[in-house]
Amino acid sequence: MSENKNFVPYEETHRLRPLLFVTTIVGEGQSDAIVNLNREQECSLCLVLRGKGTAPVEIVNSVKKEIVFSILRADRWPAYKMKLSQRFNVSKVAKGIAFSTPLDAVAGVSIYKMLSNTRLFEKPIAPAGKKGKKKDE
Amino acid sequence: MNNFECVLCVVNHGYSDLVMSAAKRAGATGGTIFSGRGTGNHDNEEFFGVTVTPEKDIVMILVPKPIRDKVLEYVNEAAGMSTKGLGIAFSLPVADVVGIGELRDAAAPKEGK
Repeated sequence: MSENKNFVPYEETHRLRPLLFVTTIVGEGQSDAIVNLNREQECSLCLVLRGKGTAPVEIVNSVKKEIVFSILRADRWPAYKMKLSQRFNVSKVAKGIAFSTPLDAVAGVSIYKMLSNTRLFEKPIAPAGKKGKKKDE
Repeated sequence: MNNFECVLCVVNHGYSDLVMSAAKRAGATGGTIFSGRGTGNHDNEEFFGVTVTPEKDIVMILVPKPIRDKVLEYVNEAAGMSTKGLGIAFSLPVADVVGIGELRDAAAPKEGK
């Protein structure tokens, strides 16, 4: 594989914001509200799946469940968590659980920018240096 | 870091109940099951011209860290690769959890009953 000598990794010139993979499990029909909560936190990727719960019926409300996978910026998690716990306390129907898992890597800078909602006009914190400059520029 | 781990188990369709009963024996409270499609086995894709989709069940269980190994061991015993369930189980670290406290409170026996 040929390596580009002028290549400078994005993380060396920009401040990276950690991302979290958030899983929210709620009862049937509750996923739209959860997606809206995610959108409030500038989440750009939400995936809703249908599943079934196995916890005893005395503890949870319904067996049919909706699972919402989303990717959030780590600094947005406390606000999301607060809104979520408020929602879970509204009623038995709105109950659910959520947990976050740290993301280690993503496939490409553009994907990272999309997931972290990084603006295109954001300036680098450090210049690319001699390595990053091409002779023509 | 939080005191929970997310155990994920991918098994053949219909074996999720075995996984859950094994996990409950190891101390797990409950889990969530959803469906998927396997892509690993290329030999079984076509059968007399009809494509057979290898359906899979994914069982997601949030467990306290101290019982994680026990849950994985029990699940592997009940529906691992040496069984018909052909399951693989692994765990992911969980950074933070919401809503599990309420679940634990509800699961605890109430006084006077």
